[in-house]
Amino acid sequence: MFAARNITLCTKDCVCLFICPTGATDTENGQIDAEKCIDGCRLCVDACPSHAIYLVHERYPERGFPSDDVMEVMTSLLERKAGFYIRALTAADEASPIKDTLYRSLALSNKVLAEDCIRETGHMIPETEKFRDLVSSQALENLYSNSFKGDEGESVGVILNSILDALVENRDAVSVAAFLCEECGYIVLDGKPEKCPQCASTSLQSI
Amino acid sequence: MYSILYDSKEEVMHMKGSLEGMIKTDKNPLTIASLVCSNFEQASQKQKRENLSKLFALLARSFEIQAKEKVKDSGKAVSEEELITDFQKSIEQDLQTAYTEGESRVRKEGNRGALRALTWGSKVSAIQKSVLKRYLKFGDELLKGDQAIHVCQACGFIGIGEAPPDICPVCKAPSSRFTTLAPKRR
Repeated sequence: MFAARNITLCTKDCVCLFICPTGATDTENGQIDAEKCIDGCRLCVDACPSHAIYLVHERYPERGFPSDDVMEVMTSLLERKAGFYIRALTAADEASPIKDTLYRSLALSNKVLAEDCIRETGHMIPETEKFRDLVSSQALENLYSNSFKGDEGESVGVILNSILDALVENRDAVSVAAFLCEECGYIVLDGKPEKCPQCASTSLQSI
Repeated sequence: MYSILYDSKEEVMHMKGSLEGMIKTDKNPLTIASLVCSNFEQASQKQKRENLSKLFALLARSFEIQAKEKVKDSGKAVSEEELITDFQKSIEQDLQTAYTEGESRVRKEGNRGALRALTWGSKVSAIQKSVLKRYLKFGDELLKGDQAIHVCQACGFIGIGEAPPDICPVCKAPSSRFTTLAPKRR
């Protein structure tokens, strides 16, 4: 457990600077240096008069999975909200300015509702057996390769492995340089290409 | 005979409870894949794992774009009015059946988290319905002058005005949790 600062609550009383035994709170980026922070020490957390410092757990408890009945309620609602979200988002692309705003806000609202449903099915954090099952089923690679001819979904496999390694070792992932085609969603991992190898678009976003 | 039916239902439920099942049984698996990844993106942010969060964001964004392409390819062309009517029908159906039935089932279980999601969800759906109704009545006059649409990132509430509300009327989140969407003005 290490300490982190919620900068929107911080009132710069700086009690944390005086109380921290290692100087972890004294940084220039507004955050607390997790490397210097003593595991579970919480002196700064208790000292802060604005409740701006909290402890981040490396592992959150699994919420557990709901009964079949609740699972059915939430997944069927998820299906409906997800459908609404993607249809509204797609419609926004070809709409006039006011309608574009209307559709994008409906999409966003339904995205929030759909994500809420996913969390209520028990899938809040990726550190679960069910996420590992998803990765080993290769369902995501297959979905991706269905969209792109002649692509086996290797890039998605590389990303998922990098995610799994981090989860198993209970740490952040290693940084991966990736480029995403904003037109078709194709992912390129080995250096920025001139144009998208799939759709030849030049709008490639660096991630 | 009863037991056979029960068994097959169990099997479907088992698939539905798994992420793989949720993705595979959906009509648009790409959208669900995107939402599962964007949810994990947010979870990783809470744990201050920036790179992990970025990888989930990358997958979420890629699947979202693919899902949009799929809608464009397979969706039949509908007029703007038909689309809005479809949205209204979908919300109406949720309000009349999905939420009311769901609520009684979830209440029986005493699952407070799911009950909260349904309560907020039905309020937000009712608001979506009224926003669409207002659009059909006022057209582009829905947003006058400097008015914009503000969406609460915590519950999905939609408000129209120059600024977001101080406190979300549905979930009580402060105005800082709102995302503002404004039309591109000429």
